[in-house]
Amino acid sequence: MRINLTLLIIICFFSISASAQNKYAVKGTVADSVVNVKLVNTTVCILNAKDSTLYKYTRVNADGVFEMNNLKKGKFILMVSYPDYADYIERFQLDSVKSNINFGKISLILKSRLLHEVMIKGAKTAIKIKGDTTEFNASSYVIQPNAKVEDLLKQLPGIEVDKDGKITAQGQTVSKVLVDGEEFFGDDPTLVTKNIRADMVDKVQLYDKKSDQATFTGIDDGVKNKTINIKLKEDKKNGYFGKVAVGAGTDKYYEGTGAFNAFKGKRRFSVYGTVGNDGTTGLSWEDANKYTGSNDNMQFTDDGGIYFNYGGDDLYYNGQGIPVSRTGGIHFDNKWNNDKSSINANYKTGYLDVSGNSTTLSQYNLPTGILSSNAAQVYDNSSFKQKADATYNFKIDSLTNLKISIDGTIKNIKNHSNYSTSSFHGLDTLLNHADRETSSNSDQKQFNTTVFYNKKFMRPGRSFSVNVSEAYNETRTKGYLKSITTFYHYPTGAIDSIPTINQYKPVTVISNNLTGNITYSEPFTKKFAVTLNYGLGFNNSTSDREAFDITPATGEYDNINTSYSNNYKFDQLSNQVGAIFNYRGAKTILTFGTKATDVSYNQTNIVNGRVLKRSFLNWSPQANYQYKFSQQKSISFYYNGSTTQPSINQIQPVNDNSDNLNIVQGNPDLKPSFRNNFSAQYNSYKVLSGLSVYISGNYSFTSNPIVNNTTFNTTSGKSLTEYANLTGKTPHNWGLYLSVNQKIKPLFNINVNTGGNIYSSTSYNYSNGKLNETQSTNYNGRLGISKSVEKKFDFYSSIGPTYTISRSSLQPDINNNGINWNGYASGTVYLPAKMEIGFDGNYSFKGKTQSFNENLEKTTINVRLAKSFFTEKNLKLSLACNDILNQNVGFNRSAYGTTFTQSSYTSIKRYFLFSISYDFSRMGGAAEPKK
Amino acid sequence: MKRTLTILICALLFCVPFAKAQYAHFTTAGTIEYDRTVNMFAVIKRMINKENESWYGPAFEAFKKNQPQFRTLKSTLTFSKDRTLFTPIEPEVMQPNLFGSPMADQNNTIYTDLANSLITMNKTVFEDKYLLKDSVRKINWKITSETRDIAGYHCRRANALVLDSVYVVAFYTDQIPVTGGPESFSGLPGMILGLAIPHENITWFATKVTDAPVTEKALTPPAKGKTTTIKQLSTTIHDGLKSRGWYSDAEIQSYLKAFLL
Repeated sequence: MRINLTLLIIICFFSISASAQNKYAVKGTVADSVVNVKLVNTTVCILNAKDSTLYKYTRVNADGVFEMNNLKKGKFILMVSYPDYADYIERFQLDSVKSNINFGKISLILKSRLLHEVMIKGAKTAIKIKGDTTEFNASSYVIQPNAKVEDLLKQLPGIEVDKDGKITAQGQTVSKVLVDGEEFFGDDPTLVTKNIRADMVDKVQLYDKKSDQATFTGIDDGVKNKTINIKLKEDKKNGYFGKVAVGAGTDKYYEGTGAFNAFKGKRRFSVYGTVGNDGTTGLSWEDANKYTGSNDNMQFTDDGGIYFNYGGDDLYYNGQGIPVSRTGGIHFDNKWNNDKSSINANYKTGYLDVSGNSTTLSQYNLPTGILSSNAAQVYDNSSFKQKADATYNFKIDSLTNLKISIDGTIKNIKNHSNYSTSSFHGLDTLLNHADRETSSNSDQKQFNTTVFYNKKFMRPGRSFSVNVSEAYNETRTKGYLKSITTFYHYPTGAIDSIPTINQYKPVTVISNNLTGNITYSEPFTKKFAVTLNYGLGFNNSTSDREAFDITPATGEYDNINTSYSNNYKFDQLSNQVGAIFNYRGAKTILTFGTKATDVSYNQTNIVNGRVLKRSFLNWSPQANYQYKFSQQKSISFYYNGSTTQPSINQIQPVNDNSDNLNIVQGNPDLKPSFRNNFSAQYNSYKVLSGLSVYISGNYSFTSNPIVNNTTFNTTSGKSLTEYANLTGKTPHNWGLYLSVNQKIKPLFNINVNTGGNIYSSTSYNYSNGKLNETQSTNYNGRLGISKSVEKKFDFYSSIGPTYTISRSSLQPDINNNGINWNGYASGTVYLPAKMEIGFDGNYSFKGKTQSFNENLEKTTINVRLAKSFFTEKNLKLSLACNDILNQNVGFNRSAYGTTFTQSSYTSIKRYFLFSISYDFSRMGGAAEPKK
Repeated sequence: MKRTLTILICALLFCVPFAKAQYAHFTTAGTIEYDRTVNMFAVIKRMINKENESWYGPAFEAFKKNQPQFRTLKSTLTFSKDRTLFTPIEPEVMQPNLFGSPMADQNNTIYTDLANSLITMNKTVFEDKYLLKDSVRKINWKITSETRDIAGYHCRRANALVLDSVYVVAFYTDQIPVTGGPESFSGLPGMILGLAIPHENITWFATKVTDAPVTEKALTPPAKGKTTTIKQLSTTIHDGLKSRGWYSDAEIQSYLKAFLL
């Protein structure tokens, strides 16, 4: 390219120097060949003979004369053209011998007089294609390597390509050649060499395309053009890739990952497995994208939004206890029938066992005094899960789609805990001491099926869809509860009673939810549309909770305990109608409307046959306004109202004595609650200067909320919690969030991130029959810096304080106001010799408060050193140290309303881990289908 | 005055029924409407590389499922004998550009003074607007014998390379003796009514030519934006992206190409 440019400059230079001499010139006149009249405005071009590039041009003046002076010497082509006349072409040379040429009278001939001339009428691009198509399969023809498309076309029956590249098909001239639906212009080999090679072609389609007018108006004017569409092969993806990684550490910590993925054409198969006891509970996010079929998690809406739905498929470890995990999965997907049909299937399994111990200190501040408790727990919980899912998608035609998804999950959860708890009046007068052992073994089954049919119409914005889905959930739990509690008389301290519990508690909860929804969208104008919907739903659930006391003589659990047993049926029938209006302008989106749902409750207490029938009308209004100043700057407002239905747990009239000192009771009279939510946000991002601003705020309030009503017995230390709808008071909360990011140019382009947020909430609960209002406000500020230089280093750090003010109306003198600090830093430096050093660290500080008289400070830092081998860097050895300062003490404290708790628990502390990972891949020789 | 006279003469010549000779009508002032069509599938596919494919790959698959392959934007070119003004038309309805490729957007308003070979251009680069004054881009066109009709005008094909390596195909007509065209493409003996950048998968085709005198006001050069030069602007774009730390050199080059075309 450089050479071409130089050449160009030289040519320009010569042309300037030549023109300075002012000696080369041409002139002439142009007229019609027959009637001999002057053709004014005729275009006269001088092209360089060497490559037919345009050198100079002029127009014939009113006298029919053209004249060009100041030319350079050389070999040229004179091209004279006038609309509807045939071109006049003449080669000529300007040199010292002949510096002036007079072409005299140039006579042009009307094209209509030239019988042999064939005019090719092109047309503007159009995309929609209808009509009969002849399709040729390129692979059935013998093609030489590096053959051009024209060579392939020549072989196809009925198609001829002449020496000028003009294509004739079935006797008619082909007006247009498309490549994958886009017009193909053909490259000038002297300018570019990126022609399509014949071996990149999958199919050649030949069809009659209606004239653009016919396509546009829908009125067939009978004009048809022959069009060839060349379909290129998809990227050839044959091959495999995978990784193996193992790590072993001090204190018996270990981790391991193996994953393999193979492509064959459009089929893809992958399998993976992980093990570990250091907190890893599956593949990393990046690996999960590579080795599981996550394609379906991302969906685009018609208006261009992206949705992610990452389900809670994975096992979760919350940092408490020592986890042992094993996971594995298989993925398969395939496309066929011109990609119209596709299937995506997965099988995943996972096992997680978490064991450890914890102690919790709690303090309940009641108007009548203080109750406190301490509890020690030793636990071992495990779960084993298997899930299979399959999605079949069928694109019936370009406007109609059918999608069927099925999944099934089987899960077994085993919990075993031993508790030792003591309750006190005040902080030291013992009220009771309990030793409790709970164990349960629960089997869960889930099945989901969804059929989604979607049809769009030719009119943009008009669409129709039907969605039918069925969800079945079944949980069967076998639980045992054993406890011995010693109650002490208050205030004397004498032993009052020693009740024991030894119960077998089978629980079966089954729910079946069948819903159908029909939507129809109709555009009123290009910008304004409505979406109507009707939905019908049957949600039936039963909850059979039983408690059997042991008969000490026989050792059998055969005495049903009616105060802890109940069988309840909760059926809901819902009918929904909705209308959502949608306006979409150049920069504005406005959506508003509502859905109304009539829900009928049918609650049956199977034990006593009592039936309760109620019905509610639930509204779901919504409004959304967005204004987009530019691609990177927008403001939006959002409102929605939503109903929360009580769950069967909340309405079943039975006592739950899993924790026999703190009993929870359901309330069959609960009504749905309604939440109004308002939010607004503004964001602006400047790519080049690196300034981004994000501001958001929200406010919400709930009417008819479901609140807890807890009654503490201050002499026994027991409590009873019931659910109730609160009337007359509305819990509400609001928040403000601000974040500003700016690249500081004088400071090595470091990115500074600062921001803050305020969050405030007001909530209610009943405590011993009295209404308590809890208000809490958090003020948070933070400052962070980051900088990354590709392949050199990256660094990020941020720190900020949070100040909390909380107040409860029943105990205005007791608060937990205080300051916390949180900091985070991470960084990686890429050293020579394929080495890298990285670290990440967390800092937390909890300042003392009225109720906690101690500051808490914790710094955990993880470091790692890694070295890669080979040019592909696919073998990597690394040495990591988790929590190098050994400060990751499991400790937490919190305050909510009038209750303060602090707990300490088993956690993963310092250990060293040496690991080795190897990535391998082999991809088949793919022909890059580029034009 | 001169223009009116030319039109008058042309009109007269056209009307007088000379025996057999066929006089063409020449359009010397008016407005051209262009459709700019971008093959989004191809543009996005080019943006996918090894680093981003785990996130772009599935997003592209989803995009192909329910977004159209072609994105069409409209623009106008107002012209008189020696001046043109190219103006993009904002789409009536919001058109999302999910992958944020500047190739898919119309970033330039361009005034060209053909008599003095000078252009005044308002260029939007991400969120900033710049004002550039420069000489008309020199393009070494190769004239071919291929022809086609566009918007009722007979056009001839010419090929060229711009920015050293970008292959451009233009269709110009003798019937509009104004050496203009869409965006910053010009330099042919007649008006460019069709333009394609095949390897960037972009085309401009005139859909309508209105043959009418234009007012002085319709040819006002853009005046807003930060004054800069092409050279300064390429440095600004390059350094701005480079200092973010996450754009590869190839990505920066493709941004530069999209903004400077």
